[in-house]
Amino acid sequence: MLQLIGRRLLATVPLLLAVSVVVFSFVHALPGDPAVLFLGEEATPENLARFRAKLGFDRPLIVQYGEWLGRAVQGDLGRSIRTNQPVVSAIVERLPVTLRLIAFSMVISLCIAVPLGIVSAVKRNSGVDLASTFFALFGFSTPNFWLGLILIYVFALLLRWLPASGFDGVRSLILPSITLGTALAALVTRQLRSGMLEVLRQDYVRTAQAKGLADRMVIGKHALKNALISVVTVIGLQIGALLGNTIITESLFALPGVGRLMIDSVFSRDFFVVQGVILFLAVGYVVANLAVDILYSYLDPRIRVH
Amino acid sequence: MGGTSLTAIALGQFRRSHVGLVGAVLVCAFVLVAALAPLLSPYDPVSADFANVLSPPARAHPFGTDDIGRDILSRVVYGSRISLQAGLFTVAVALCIGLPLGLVAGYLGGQVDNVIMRALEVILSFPGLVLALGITAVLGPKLIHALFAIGVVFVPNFARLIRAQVLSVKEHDFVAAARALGASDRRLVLLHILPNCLAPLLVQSSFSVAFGILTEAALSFLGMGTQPPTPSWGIMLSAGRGYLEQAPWLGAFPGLAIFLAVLGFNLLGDGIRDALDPRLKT
Amino acid sequence: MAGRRRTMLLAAIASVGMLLAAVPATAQVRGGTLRIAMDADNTTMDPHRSTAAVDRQVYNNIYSKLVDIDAKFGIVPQLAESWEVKGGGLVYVFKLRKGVKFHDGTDFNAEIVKWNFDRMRDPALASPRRSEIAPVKDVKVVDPYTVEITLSASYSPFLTVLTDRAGMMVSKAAVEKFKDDYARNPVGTGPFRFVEWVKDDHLTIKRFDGYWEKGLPYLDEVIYRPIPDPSVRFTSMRTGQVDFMHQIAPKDVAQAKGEKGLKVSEIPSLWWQGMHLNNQVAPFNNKALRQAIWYGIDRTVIQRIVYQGLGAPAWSPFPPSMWAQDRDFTDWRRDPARAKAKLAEGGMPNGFSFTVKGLALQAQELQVIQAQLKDLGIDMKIETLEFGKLLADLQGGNFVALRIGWSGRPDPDGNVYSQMYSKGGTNYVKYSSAAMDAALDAARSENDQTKRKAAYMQVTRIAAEDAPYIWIHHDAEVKVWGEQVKGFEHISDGMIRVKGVSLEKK
Repeated sequence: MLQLIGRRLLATVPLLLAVSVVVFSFVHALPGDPAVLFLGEEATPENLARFRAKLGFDRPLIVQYGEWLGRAVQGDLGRSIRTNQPVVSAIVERLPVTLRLIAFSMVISLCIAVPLGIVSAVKRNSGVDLASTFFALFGFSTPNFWLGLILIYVFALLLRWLPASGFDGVRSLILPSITLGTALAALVTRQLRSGMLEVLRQDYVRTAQAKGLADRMVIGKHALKNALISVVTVIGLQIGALLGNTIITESLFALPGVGRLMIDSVFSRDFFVVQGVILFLAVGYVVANLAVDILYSYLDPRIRVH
Repeated sequence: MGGTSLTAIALGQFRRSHVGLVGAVLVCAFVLVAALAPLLSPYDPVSADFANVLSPPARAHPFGTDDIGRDILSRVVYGSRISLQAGLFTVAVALCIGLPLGLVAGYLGGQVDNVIMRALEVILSFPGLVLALGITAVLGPKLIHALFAIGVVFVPNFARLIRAQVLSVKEHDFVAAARALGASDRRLVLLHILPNCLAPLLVQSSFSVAFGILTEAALSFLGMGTQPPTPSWGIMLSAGRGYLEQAPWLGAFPGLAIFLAVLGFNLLGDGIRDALDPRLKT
Repeated sequence: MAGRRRTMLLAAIASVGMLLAAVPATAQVRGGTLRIAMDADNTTMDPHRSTAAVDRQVYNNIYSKLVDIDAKFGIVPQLAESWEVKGGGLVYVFKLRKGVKFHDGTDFNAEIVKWNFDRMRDPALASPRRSEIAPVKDVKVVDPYTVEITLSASYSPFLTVLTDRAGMMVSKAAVEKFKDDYARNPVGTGPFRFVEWVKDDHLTIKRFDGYWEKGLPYLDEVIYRPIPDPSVRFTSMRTGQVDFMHQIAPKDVAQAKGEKGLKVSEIPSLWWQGMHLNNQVAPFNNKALRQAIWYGIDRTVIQRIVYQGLGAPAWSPFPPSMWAQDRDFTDWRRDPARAKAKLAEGGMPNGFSFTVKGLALQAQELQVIQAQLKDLGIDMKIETLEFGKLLADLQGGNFVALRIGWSGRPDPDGNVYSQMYSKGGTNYVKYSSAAMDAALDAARSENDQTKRKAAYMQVTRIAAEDAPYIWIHHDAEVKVWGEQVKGFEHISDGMIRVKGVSLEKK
């Protein structure tokens, strides 16, 4: 097991390196002069030259990359061009809100999806099952910013139960978490349902001839465990979408999180911040995937035996 | 080959699958609306009518008018074109880059395969929207950049799909036999590999179009995609945000349109997948 | 010792007595935290370097100025208790208030005033205030509480200029201590002192117990929250997340007025909203093309649709609240025929295309203009930027056209000189006209208001002809607050002065 983790970690390093090259080239090697990007097309040549010199853009790319990477590894992602605040501290300031939002969303979506998925599998083709199928379909296809707008309209403006925006404690996270978690809940419900049905069908046939009700519990637990594995798979596959949707949700609800930081810095052409945030999100994503992989192989005995 | 061919069985399954059918209907409707946009929209989607700003749905304007007096129905209809373009362009980019990559990786194997797979892994290391945002941010907030970015996000999916098909086909004996008989590589690819890929490709394409539509709307909503006065559903939702109370119809209809289009393609993808692999059906 | 203490006690009782007599019958509640929703975040806490209107809001509460204005645009004493103008308007002698302390404990006196002026005039600092006080020739310390300022030419807006940032007194000790970091560590003599600033989240100021105006302020703390999205800002006002709101979108005003628990105050403002056209770069280095835009847009339609009938259309930098406005000027109404003629004159009979930079919240207005110009064959593209970037592009001259407003100054000179004088500090469009320079200088040095008005009417005519800017609209000055907020005096300069504000418990 430890060997597995060790190997995986080692394999991640070259991946992260490649990721850093890609992130760096966003700003420096893609078509578009960063000076023009920041100052605009009508900038005078003197302004452009001064800007480039000030930020060291006139040195060879390799040198710039090396310096940037070296500093990044030590935790220095440069400074915001706009506010001069270190990028790392800008991210760290906003991280708690984002993490809380994601955690809350997962909790909410699991709270909905797990019972719904189980019940709809056990009571197949019932009213609940139909409802959960609709929920799964609609939840997955609804653009989450539209859902967010509807939720704001109903719960914040019409009923005045919840705040429409901003971050004022746990209450402000309810609507955003529902918005963010719905798509995930839809997928998990579906996955849980089909996973459980699969297992139930196999075991049911065998045990149908065997004893009796007492074994329903055993089947239940066994089915549940196997289904949960597939849930972890789904969540693992959806982390990327979740991170992306977090950006939209934070923007819609004006939450001061990392996603908002990215949008704001894109609009202010503050590309050191953009660069830093993308790197941060990509690294986080890789790490999260790794964690899910490890968790998955821990849960699935078939892989472990390998 | 007759009524019992795989295609016939598949179509039969598909027809019986309500899911796929609903999806197909929605997609057909969507494509029709996009194609017939000039006929279906009562007004010019970008012409402003300053006398009729923010009017609620009525006979003259069934979906109401927006904040500068443009007819929302016409804009939703024309918006389907933007979304369809978005979806198709995304798939086109993903295919154009992903297909050759997957073929080469699967066919040549070895080091080439390794390198290509690593490169794909790097793309996959970025959350989709983040990558799209980053590329759009650097290239500039224009629709074409956004679509290109979204297409790139889907390259790994398509490449892996093709590669898997290539690998599985390579195993079969008939390939060795055909080779022994002197069949060229190109013939093999065209006659044997690609037809087998078609089905899963269709499924993946359907999901990708759905994602493309959704992401274009998201990027436009954030202000990074289409720019005014282009009638994209995403931009319309973004404008509707400021008028949630005074004029909810601004955002309601474009949102509904996005939802139906995305739902349609998702269901279609589901339906095709179920039709082709009955073992997966529950 | 005992005698002195008793005297002090008597003095204290006397002043409390006088204070009680001065305070109105309904005594205001002490304490509480006022939460204000702002439209943008501060850019700096150094008034000598600030160029954004939003900065002035916080400044008005942490910095005292030499003088202030009241609701009728009269000049009232603040750090300067009294003043005398001599020498034909060339010499100003200020008698300063005694016993005023900065938040860091240092004294306020004539030396400090001189040091502040020297700092603003220092070419190395490149302060935007420099052009505002350009006529200042010499600042002399007569005695510890008397300052004599000599001007190189008569300058009628001088006192009005001192009611804004140029009159704000900064602590010399703090600047020497923090140097460049002073921008984040401000020290003034105002009723509140700076506590913390978390960029894009909040800015907190706390009551300064050593404030020179005894008995004030009432509040313990004020928190500014930048919420750039107007819908989000308005919602936070309605749901009680904030107590006070700055800059409400015109479309929300009617709703605010109808909402229980909210108070809305609508008065004329000093603002003008318009488009900056880069006079040095194509296509707008061509006067005829600028004029095409001047006649191509329909300001009355914009006022109706975008501003919901609030405020007034703008054909010059002078809003209706200013005596300098030429009310009878009519050469601004939309005239497509004339616009087309101007296009032909400019060599672009079939129109041309250009990009205008602006804020996302101006999308509606920009699209209206886009539609209006499209009829003439002019293809206007819109580029949305965040406020800080927009400001940076404006100041760097990185634009062809840029949509931004000017928050306005009580004296008409403040709405026009810096932007249209050929060497003006905020003349980012690089407009230069000898006739305009002459009119502006004449208006500035004249002390007789009738003669000044005549000069400003000249300014209006020349500006409409040359169209270096396209003035579009004069905003209404609207503030919204919860009924728990008491004691707010709404003045046309739009500043949220909180020293007299208190919060009633709900």
